[in-house]
Amino acid sequence: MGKRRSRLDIICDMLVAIQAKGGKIKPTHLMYKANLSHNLLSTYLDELIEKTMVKEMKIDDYRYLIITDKGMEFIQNIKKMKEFQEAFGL
Amino acid sequence: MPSATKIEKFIPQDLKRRMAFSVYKGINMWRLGLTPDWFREIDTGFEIVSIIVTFLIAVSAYKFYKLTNEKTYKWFSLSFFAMSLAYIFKILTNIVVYNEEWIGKEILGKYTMTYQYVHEYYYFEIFGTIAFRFLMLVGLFGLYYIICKCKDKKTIPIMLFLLFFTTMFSNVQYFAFHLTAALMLAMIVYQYYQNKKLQTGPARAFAFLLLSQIIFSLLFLTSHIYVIAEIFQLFGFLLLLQTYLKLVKHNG
Repeated sequence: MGKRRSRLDIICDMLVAIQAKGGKIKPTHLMYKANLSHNLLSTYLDELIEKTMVKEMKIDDYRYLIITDKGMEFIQNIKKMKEFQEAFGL
Repeated sequence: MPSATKIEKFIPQDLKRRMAFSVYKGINMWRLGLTPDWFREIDTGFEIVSIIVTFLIAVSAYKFYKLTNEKTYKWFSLSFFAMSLAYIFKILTNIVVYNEEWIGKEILGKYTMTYQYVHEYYYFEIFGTIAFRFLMLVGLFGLYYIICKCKDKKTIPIMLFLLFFTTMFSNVQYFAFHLTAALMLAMIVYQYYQNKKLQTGPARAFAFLLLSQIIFSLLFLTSHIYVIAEIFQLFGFLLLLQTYLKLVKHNG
């Protein structure tokens, strides 16, 4: 059985999933890509929108989630943090 | 220069009792180390390297704590800050100790001033030494606690008391400090060596720091031991710096 993801892991997975899709993704796709239930997706998405890491936009009548510069910067910082964590065995 | 007995006349009885050692008689357990004359100032340079390395790591860990709010980073950062502060105290204390002779020559002819100076000087030396040792042990304990992934928070107050007790006791038997530091470093090194990925960088760095503490504890043999221990310690911190720089370089 895999290790349970932390809050930070989930947020990171969501942002990386959006980034991998060229910076924009439909909410349903994000739910599958980040392996989340609908409830969890809504909770974390609200947090990401509130922290301006992700913004919502309507394109051709479809709702899209778009990663902001702040979201991209967060991914970079998390990457650095994980390397730091591995280097010092934290 | 006046004799030791002459100077001792001007030191108040209560101060002598509180210090519990004989001033200017060569028995001074409060000292941080018996540095050979030629090595004075050089070791200050070594300590500056230690301050820079511990400070850089502390700042990085603190940034990650602000980013994620994860307590591991907070305690990791605080541990390195404690070590950084400890070395600042060591440098300040050494500056006072190394200038002892110079200041002594300036004022030893005037007994009233001599008394005042000896009084302040010893209080500073005692405080600086205790601060260095206690902060260093607290810093190492913090690292041990995080790296070895200890969970039981109830032991922390007891450990802090024991570390304070060791700090005070090391004024009578100086190696108590070095052996306690060595014990915590040994636990850290053991933890690192259990993880294959970590056997190169920090494990080697902490292994050098461990060796330096063991060598420091042999200071009673000859003052040259101090030089060897300082060199090992410098290598340890340089290896930590190397790990840090690799991370910085890799992330652009």
